Amino acid sequence: MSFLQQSLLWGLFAASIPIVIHLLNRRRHRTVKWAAMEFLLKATRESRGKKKLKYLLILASRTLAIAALIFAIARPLIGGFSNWGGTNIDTVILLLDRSASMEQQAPGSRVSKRASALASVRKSLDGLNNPRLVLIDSASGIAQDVPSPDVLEELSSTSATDTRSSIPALISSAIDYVLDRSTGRTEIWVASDMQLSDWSPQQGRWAAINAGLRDLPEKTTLRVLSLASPPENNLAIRVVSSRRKAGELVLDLELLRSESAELAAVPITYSVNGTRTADKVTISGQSYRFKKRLPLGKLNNDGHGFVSVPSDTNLRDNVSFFAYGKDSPTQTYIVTEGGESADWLALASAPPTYDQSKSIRISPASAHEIDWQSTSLIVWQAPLPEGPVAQELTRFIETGGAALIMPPRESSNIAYLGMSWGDQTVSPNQEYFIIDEWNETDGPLRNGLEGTRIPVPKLKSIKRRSIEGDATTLASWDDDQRFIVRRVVGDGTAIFISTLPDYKWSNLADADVLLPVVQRMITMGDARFGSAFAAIAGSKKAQANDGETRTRLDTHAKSNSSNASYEAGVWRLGERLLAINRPVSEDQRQILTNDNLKSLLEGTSFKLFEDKGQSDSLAREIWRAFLIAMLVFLITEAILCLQPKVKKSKP
Amino acid sequence: MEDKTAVVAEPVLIAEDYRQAMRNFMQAVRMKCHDVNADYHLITTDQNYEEIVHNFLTTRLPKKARK
Repeated sequence: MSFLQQSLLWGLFAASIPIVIHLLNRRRHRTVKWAAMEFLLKATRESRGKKKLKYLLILASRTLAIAALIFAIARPLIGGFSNWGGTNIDTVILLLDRSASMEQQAPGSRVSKRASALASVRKSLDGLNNPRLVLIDSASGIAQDVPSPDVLEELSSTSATDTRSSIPALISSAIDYVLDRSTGRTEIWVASDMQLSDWSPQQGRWAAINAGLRDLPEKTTLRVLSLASPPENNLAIRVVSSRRKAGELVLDLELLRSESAELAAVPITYSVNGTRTADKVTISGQSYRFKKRLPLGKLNNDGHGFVSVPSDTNLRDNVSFFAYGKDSPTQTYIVTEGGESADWLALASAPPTYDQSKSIRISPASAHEIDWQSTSLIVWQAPLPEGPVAQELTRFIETGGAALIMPPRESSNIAYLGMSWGDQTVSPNQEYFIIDEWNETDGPLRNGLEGTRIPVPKLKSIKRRSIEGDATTLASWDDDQRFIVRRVVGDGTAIFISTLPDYKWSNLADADVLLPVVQRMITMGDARFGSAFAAIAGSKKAQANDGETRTRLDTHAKSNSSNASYEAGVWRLGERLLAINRPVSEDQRQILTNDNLKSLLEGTSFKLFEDKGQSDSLAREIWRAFLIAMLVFLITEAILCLQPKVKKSKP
Repeated sequence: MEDKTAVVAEPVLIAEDYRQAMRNFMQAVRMKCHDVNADYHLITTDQNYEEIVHNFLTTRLPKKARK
């Protein structure tokens, strides 16, 4: 318990007044000569027991009443963040979560969780004995001394950002700080909205963190200020991808809202190179994904813009930025043994109506001539690559490129990415292999945005090769053999398909399946060109390199120069044009529960305080309780002092 | 007054017990008189003792005369 008027506790000496009066009264007595000593002696013997007890109770009630009054006047506090703890702390290390989700307003409040946390911390520090305050914020990760709690809310290192947070890293930094400096009796305070992605419970470093906390030289208390209240009335928008295609910009957008209410028409503003347009989108569930095509005109320059929704309870997720480069055709290399497959693959990768698509056929022997930098998709229909070409292909995939790998006509023992081609199988006479099962939500056979299914059941095969190796199965034949598998390598993806678009193998060339698979793979590989203009706030890519100056280009908001490194927006960093956005994880509302927190910090003593955002102060004043206690003591004293009715004794 | 014994007492606290002790004593005396067929008269010190003695003696006289 702490007190707002601690100096008034000196008044507790007044509680000794009834005792002093009692002792003084005992010394004052009147001498009366008495004859009937027998009765007097008997009466004094009888009264010794319970009368004395009664008198002691009266004395105690008077003393406690005065003490309760003094406590009430001193304005005691209960339930605070530093509740019931000792006030004798030398150092407080504040670990502040400055991620984008902390800008969410708590229910019933107009301030962000971050601002609420800072106010709570400041009030709690006021009740302590002026300990040293060290701040480690989630954006910079740098420990800094704060001269006074009053300036906490004014520091740039406590202001809002669009970054994510790593609580394990913050706690590790705090442990290192305590070990490197003599901090005395220390408390580590963590202020966080308990987002699962920030706490990373699956990270193996928690065991080391718990050991580090336990092994600190002096007793160190860990306090967690949880601001985990769910968002209300919040709508977020995010640019999933952006790519330039023949004079227009294609944006893949996602809307997320906190409640799954009825249909709602959401006004959306699009700004491209300073020109704004608006339209409305109807959302029915909690998320909605859609495409928006914006005309770019004939000039082939780079450009930028943003997409925004009306302001709500979290301003940080109401906007998403994009940037794009000059237009260039999509390039696909088809490494092939030749034959019918090559023709169909060329057609699927560069259909006649797709002016901006180009496909180049080469033999496996000429694979070293591939222009890896400008290519979106590599189709490899030949024995698997090896040697320098395999290394180049792997590097291509790792940097975001897409590869579609199809079986060679002849058997081959070569392995690539841990995969290899197995035996060729032929279907029984008059029968076909057909697709029994495929993933409709993920992979190149997924349903369209409106739920349109790929007509996969139309595919029939009479010849195929088995796929050997560890990979994710995306589609299977009716005899449980794999049709399509996926290997994710770095930022890119390699897809293996077990048959060929050759009528001696299958009707894959009919385009019902081949065209969407190839075009989706091209889109996937193309994303790396668009992603060259995208970065996550707080990431290394979003930081200015040596010699680069940072300039904000978008018109959405102005930035504070000291915080610019952590803010979303369209930025020119030297020669680089970047659309910097908040991480995807900041829009995903998964919370670390209290039980999970306990198991995460198993073996570590910590105190959890949950700020539900409904009170201005973390602590409650309880002076009323003490006044009521005083009243009770006074009433008790009055009752005990009541004289019993004297029975008139008959002579 | 009976001897030099001094007792410190709180009148408020012992009053009831004192009265009860006296009542018990008077009750005991009365019972003893009853047991030995003795006459019992409760006289308080604020009464006129001459009148009381006179009345007592006068009451006993006719009993002696009949003898």
